[in-house]
Order: sequence, then structure tokens, then C-alpha cells
Amino acid sequence: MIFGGAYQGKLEYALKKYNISEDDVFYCSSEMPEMDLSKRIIYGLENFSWACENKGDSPEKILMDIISSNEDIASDIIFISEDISCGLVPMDKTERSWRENHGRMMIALANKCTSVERIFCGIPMKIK
Amino acid sequence: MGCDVKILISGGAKNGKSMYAQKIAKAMSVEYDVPLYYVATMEPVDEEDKNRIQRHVHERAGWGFITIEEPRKLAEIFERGISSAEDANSKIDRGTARLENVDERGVFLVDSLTALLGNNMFHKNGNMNLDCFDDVCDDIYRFSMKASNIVLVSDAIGCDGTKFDDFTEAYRRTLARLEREIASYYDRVTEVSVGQIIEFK
Repeated sequence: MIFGGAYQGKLEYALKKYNISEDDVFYCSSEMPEMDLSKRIIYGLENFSWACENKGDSPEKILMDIISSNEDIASDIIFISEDISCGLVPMDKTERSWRENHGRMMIALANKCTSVERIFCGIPMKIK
Repeated sequence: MGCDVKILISGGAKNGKSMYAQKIAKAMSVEYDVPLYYVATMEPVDEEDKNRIQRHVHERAGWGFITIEEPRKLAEIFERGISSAEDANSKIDRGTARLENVDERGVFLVDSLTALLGNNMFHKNGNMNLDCFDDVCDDIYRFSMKASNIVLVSDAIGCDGTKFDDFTEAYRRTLARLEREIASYYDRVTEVSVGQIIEFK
């Protein structure tokens, strides 16, 4: 798993480090809570959790279900998310709830992942 | 002489970035025996700003900083001559530095990249230049190639859980791009979090 602030160079870092082509990236949609695990990189988990939020679903539960039903390939996937956890508490109720549910999903995902890296100014730091 | 050290410092608000930056800039100037400059980037627009600047000036008193006011173009610190110091177009106080005497071998504490970009992107008269990345990037590069020692302070503002308008988003994106560009050629990249120093490079 790779995470970090907006525009910190997360995807660029992952593509370069793991030598992955851009065709092999699944860009999460903020409308549909789905992902294609045949891709090496799942990018934009914050959009995935936003889509879940708007449908009233728990992103943690949905993501864990997707992973456990694809256990054979999921271990080889790089999940990338923006860190949305460090600003002011959002005024908007949906954003507030999204931020909390996204955080819970990230903790569960980080537990599953063998490696967790945080990107800061384009530079990685290994957290796990 | 152990010169030519360039450091980028970023992190959340009120985590101790400026204080840490002042300490290492001061230590570097003592160690290398060179002048210590404070490049003030804030362009005051109201009383609140003026008070904040006064507070910062007060906090720096006794540290031995020579203040240079430059809200937009860092490289001009070296380029502008004595006459341009009296430039009628810029109604800012050029501070205590005698411009012809700015010593390139000094230690330059620039606080902050955030304000510098803000001044370049959003002008006082209400105009905007959302595409200023190349200009600012180039200016910082030219400044960095001239100044021997730099401590540049930025702000990590990319971790909000809020959807922003296009202007704010352009600013966030540009600041992060600048940080990444600068990080790629600076010697050290440091995050200050709750007063603690985390070295990324």
C-alpha cells in the first residue's frame, strides 16, 4: 500500500519502482464502488471510499470482501490512496463521514498489506 | 568550508517548522562563518498581517538575522541593484539588508514557499496567474544555484479530507509540484511533526 498527500507523486513512484505500465493501473471511480483486481495498481482509493459513502456502504467491508474473494491475486496488488486524514474536520456531513470511513478502511488494508509506504515530496518512507 | 547545503522543510501547521528552520540556519551560519539572512515572503494586506509580521520580527530578534523582504522573485535578491531597491512600484520595506552587500555564500532562510506561491498566483489587485508553476520553479532554481546555503520552509497542505474549488485545488497542486521538484535537487528533505524531525532525504 502506498499513501500520501495530494500530488505528492504516489503513482509516479509506484510505476517507476515496480516497473509497471500505465495500462496496468485501475483508476477508482468516485461514482461506482468497484475495482478490477486483474490490474497491478489500484489507484485512488479515496474515490472508491467516496463512491461507497454516497451509496451508504462501508468501504472497509466492501474492500475486504473484494480482497478475500480474490485472495489468489490480491497479494500482488499495489493499492494507492491519498491521505485525507490531516485537515480540519470537514464542515460537510458527507465529507466528515467519508473521512472516518476511509480511515477505517485504510487501517484494515494496511493490516493486510505486506508493505506500507508513505510518500512525502516524492520521497518514500517505509511505514511497514 | 562546509558550505552548499540546501534543505527543504515541510509539515503541518504549528508543528515547529519555523523554529527548527531558524535553529539550523543559525547553526549553519555559525559553523560556516557566513552571514545569516531571513528572506521574508509575506506581503501584508491588512492589520492582522502586519501584526503577524511584527510578532515574527520580535521572535527573530537577537538571532542575528539580516532581513530581506522578497514576496515574489527570490532570484532578484541577487539581481536587483541599488537603484532598484528604491523601486517605486514595490511599496515594500526592503528591510535592513544593504542589497549590494547580499553575500551569496550566506545562509538564506526562506519562510515560506507557501506564501511565495500565493503571492505569485493570487495578486493583490485580484488578478490570478494559475499557471505560474514554470516561472516560480525557475526562479527558485536560479536562486538556489546562486545562494550557497538555503533553508526553505513549506507547508504540507495535501492531506485534507475536503473537496476544494478549482482555484484552491490549483494552488495545492502547484505547491506540491514545487515541493517535489525542489526535493529532487535539494540535499535534505525534512518533515517536522509535533516538533520532531523526520528525515526523508
